[in-house]
Amino acid sequence: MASLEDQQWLERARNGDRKAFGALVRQHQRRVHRLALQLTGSAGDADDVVQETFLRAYRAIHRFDGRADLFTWLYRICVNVALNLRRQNKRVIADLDDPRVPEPVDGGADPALSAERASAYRELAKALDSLSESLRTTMVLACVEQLPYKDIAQVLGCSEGTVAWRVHEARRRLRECIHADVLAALEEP
Amino acid sequence: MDDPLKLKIAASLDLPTDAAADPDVARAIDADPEARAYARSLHTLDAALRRWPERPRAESSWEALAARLDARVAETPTGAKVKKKKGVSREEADPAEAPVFQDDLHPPTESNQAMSETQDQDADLEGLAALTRTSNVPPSMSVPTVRPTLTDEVDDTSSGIVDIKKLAAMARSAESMAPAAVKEEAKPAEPEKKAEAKKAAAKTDDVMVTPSRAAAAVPKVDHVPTKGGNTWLGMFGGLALAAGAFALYTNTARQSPEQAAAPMAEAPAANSAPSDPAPVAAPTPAQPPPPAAPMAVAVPASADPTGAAPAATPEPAAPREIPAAAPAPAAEAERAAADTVVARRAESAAVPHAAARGAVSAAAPQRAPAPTTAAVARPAAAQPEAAPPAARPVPPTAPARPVAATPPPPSGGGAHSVDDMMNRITGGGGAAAPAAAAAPSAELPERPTRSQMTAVLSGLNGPIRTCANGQTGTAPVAIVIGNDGAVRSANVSGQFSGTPIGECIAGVVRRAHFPAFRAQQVNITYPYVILPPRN
Repeated sequence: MASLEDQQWLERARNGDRKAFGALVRQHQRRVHRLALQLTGSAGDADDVVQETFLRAYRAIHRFDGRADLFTWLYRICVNVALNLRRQNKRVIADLDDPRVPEPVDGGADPALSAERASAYRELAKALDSLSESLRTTMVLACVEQLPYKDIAQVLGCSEGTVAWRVHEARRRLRECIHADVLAALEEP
Repeated sequence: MDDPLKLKIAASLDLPTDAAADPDVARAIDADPEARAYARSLHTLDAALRRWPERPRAESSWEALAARLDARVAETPTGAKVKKKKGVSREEADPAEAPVFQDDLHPPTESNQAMSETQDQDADLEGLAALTRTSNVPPSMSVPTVRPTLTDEVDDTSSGIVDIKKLAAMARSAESMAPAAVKEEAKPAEPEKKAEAKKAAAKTDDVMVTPSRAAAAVPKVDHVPTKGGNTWLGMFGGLALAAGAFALYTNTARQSPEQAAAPMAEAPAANSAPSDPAPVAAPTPAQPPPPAAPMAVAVPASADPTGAAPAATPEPAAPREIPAAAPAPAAEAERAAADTVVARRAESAAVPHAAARGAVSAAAPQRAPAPTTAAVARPAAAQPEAAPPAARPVPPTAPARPVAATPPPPSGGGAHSVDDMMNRITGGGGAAAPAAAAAPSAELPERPTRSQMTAVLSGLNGPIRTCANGQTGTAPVAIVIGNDGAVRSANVSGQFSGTPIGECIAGVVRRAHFPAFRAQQVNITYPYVILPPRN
């Protein structure tokens, strides 16, 4: 069920109030962007996906009946757009400055550790990229976005059992392809 | 560290932080350094993903992004005003349709979703459902009546799956082995048969071959196989053909043995004891034949409303328990052969068990286990009613078929019968059964195939849903199967662990029976996903 605030904005947006839709955009764009960034691995693509997601949502706003959370509906559109974009960009160019990788913090307590962690996250991002579409998307939604399985099932249009299996399989494969050193660097300080 | 434990460790990551840890996992982590390392690595990975740091982005950048969007929205009409263009993409039509993944990996537990959700389009379910159907190969087919029906989908009127390549080869060899007179009669159907064999060769392993049931018993009747889905027509056709077979047989039985010799050669499947038509007329295989006459009983499959087709087994006067206590070995072997059809799905294994995965690849050449595990051989699709097969396993006390006393097959069926050929191909049933019974351990597979295990376990869906009593969730069951096929232990973990529902589920699984195998035991974990019933 969409939140009360969302419902009010939605109702107004359905009636043609663009400012109301703008408010919804500002409320949800960061979450959608974070998901888009994880799915595309490119800052530029993520911005495009966010734009396209909200545009499609606006065009189809009358279809949203408000029974589900608005963000799950937006996530579903975002996943569709991101998948399409990735399929179109068949030639994957390694992003030297992967926007998913945290920048090493200058002046931190331990710059070496910070750089090591950044490197570990780069490896983790690569490992995620090596997963299949379904496993990667499910894993991002489950672990990075921390959605409950029920919501993931709603976003992906599958059963919770399928989500559980994909998460399990993704974990297993990630563990297989991530080196012990990387794991050590990823451990909580 | 075994796979079930790995699965439990992974599942424990999804528990709420305040939830009690699985005692098995806690114990294993305490005792086993490998398990501890595994749990730690998974936990580290999970935690790293959960606290994935974001690069900071200026507020102005977010505002700029939103402003750009505002500008585009201003140029865009809302959905109600959008004009439908020709060739508009599906996604444009409904951007919030469920994503379709190119790699769509169907989890093995997908079969369990069938507990409450019918997924007609699910190829996996089709495959699994097909595997749980009993063999449709007639118990004793005469050579010229090999008339396989090629379908791209599972035929509901049929219950059997035969490897297409093997059947095509069988058809060819049948042609060469048929007696001259029989060949004469079969001639009109020759081009059609060749065309079918050709078609069969062209098809891939995905093709299911469903030989017609009753055509085997009535060689001269031109059986028109029905296409998949035409269930009623197929059933009526089968009944009509069975009646024809019976009529033919009774006519033959009244003739003198000399007169009867020729027709019997044409229709050896009907019966090898022409003086006693009772077995053929028996409406259900559960009725024992008159104890006086040793005979090769060939009950037409179409006469059995349950669709269970017992293998033609020459038996002495001993009471028959074919359908209830003993599986058709040929059916078992065919199912093993049918594993090749779904072997390509081994990657998305139903049981995340490396050993089981390996077993699947070796499934085709396996000889069917000795027919003492009746529960496994009573698959779901063979029962039109809702109760799944393994949900009512035959108690271990059920007497096995007295194979040791089985006499050699009558010359009527002869070494040239398709049944024999099927047995040779699939490595089980018929004349091979006594040999298999004589040296069971040598002939048993190293471990049951994944599809065999899945067939048994998915057959428990009904009772397990009853156990759940309306509750939903996932119930991973760690099962230890002994080499006699009996379940040695079954423990439910996850949300139902330690609950009455979990106990009920474990109890149901403990009563399951798998095919016997050679290895000491097999450990698997099978997650039952219990979903709410579809409205």
